[in-house]
Amino acid sequence: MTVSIELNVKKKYGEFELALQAVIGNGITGIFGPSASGKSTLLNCIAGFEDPDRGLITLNSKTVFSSRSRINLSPEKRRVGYVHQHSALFPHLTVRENLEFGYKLTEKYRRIGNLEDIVHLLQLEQIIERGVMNLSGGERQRVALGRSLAASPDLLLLDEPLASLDLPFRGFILEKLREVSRGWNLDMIYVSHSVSEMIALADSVIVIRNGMKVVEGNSSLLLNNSSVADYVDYGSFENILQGVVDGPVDENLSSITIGNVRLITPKLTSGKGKQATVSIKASDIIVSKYPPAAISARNILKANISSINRSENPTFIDCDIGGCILTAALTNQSVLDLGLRTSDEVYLIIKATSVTPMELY
Amino acid sequence: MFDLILLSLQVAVIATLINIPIAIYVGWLIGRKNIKGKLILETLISLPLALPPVVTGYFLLIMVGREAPIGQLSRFIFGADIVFTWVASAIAASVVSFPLMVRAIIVAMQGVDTTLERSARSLGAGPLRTFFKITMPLCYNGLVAGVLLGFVRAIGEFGATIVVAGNIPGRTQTIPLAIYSKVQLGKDSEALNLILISTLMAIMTLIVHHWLIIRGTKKGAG
Repeated sequence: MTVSIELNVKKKYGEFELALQAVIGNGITGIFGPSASGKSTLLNCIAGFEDPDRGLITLNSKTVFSSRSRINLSPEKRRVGYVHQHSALFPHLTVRENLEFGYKLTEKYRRIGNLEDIVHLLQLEQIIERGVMNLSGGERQRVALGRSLAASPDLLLLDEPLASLDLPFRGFILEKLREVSRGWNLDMIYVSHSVSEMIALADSVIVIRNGMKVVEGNSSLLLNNSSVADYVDYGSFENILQGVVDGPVDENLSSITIGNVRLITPKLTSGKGKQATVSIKASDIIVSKYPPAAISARNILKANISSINRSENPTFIDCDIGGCILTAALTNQSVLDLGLRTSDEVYLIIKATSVTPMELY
Repeated sequence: MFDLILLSLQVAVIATLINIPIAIYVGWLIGRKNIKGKLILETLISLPLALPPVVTGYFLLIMVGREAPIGQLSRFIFGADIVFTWVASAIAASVVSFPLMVRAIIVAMQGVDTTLERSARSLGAGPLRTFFKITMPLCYNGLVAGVLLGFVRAIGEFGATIVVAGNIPGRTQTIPLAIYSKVQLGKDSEALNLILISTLMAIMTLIVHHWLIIRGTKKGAG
């Protein structure tokens, strides 16, 4: 792991104290925790909007804050992008002017992408000359992301960026974040309450609570670590998967290839060959030890159990369907009754209507 | 008559121009910053609004009078007195109109979402650029309202002016003072002409205000 960010931050607010020490690697790091756990304070300290009482923050071995050496770089010198939940677009500027704001302030040699690439990536062509006041929530968030990217940051902070968005936009933004993280090699810190988003996006997570780190590791720990169990909404956990559209199967159904598997879905509007994102609730997946015969569900996927994550209830079964992992939620009793173990071969039964498209258009 | 209008405009415009940068700075200090003694500063700048203008005029007279430090400084530098000149009129108009301008600006500054300023900083803009490119444009309506409110107050100033600048025709007599004199002397028709001019100027200022607001709000909603 190449070290991207080193943090050792202490900040007190009345009774509350943020005291966090962490080494954050490359890729997308999720910060997960209940509200008022110090997530936003942490982001503000990294971005330079709040000063820690004591500590050290280095970004790619550049010290941006050090109480000992009296270093405190101003926000504009840190090259840290920040995408807020409510987009925070400049209301007096058009979409283009919003995008250009940081772009023009970035020296040419630092720019990772030109403006046209960003507009194209986030599909902003149609709205580029519009004022930002009449945009929908999803459009606003796409512009906010584009505006941050246009300033070519070294690190991107995302504070619940999908919290107020509808499903299709969530899918689109998740897809683009993944694309940018890999394609542009841009490190991100992603704050969210949503386990689904964390599993879909984050390479690793840090769980914080009352200003302290509780646990850190691979994002799947959110499904099996007892220390997070009491504030995770397991019932709503969904698999967010990205695939390539094969095209329509009949009038009402389409198919999409995810990993090596073809999945029947409700009708997708994206054309053949296009990327699309779908979500499947973990509780909508039925696990069978034997191949089911004469069953109405359209998707029967052969899989191997890669891990069993026991929380209090349900138990999450990670199933390798060939190239990607699909997580099913079963009651603890079902797992016992079926005698499921890691590396068992199972069949996952998913109705086409349980696959929710998260397409933008 | 023409000289009278010109002098009135000169006094009001100069008073307003002096006030704008100070009002923006003070508006920013009070509306945007957590400074100590905010309450004292707020009370102090609003005082001319609460005091009878004649009292404000008296205070000014104490400060800029011939024997006062500022008056002596003026004589030392410029070789001339401030009191009973158009400069004194401008100072009086400036002090009396300042609270109106600054209060509108404070409210506007307080209305600016800090997240927007923070976003600008994250995008690479320093504090000054953020102030001029984000904070100021977002205060535009309040700024325009404050400046024009200050201007109309300055052009109508009477009480403080008559104390510190007197009512000298051709030197310190502005439209309101002239109206007062004409009415006192029973020259009602001449007073009426001036009243008409005053009203026209007020209407024009309000039209300019509306035009500036409309022009300013067009962009973001396009």
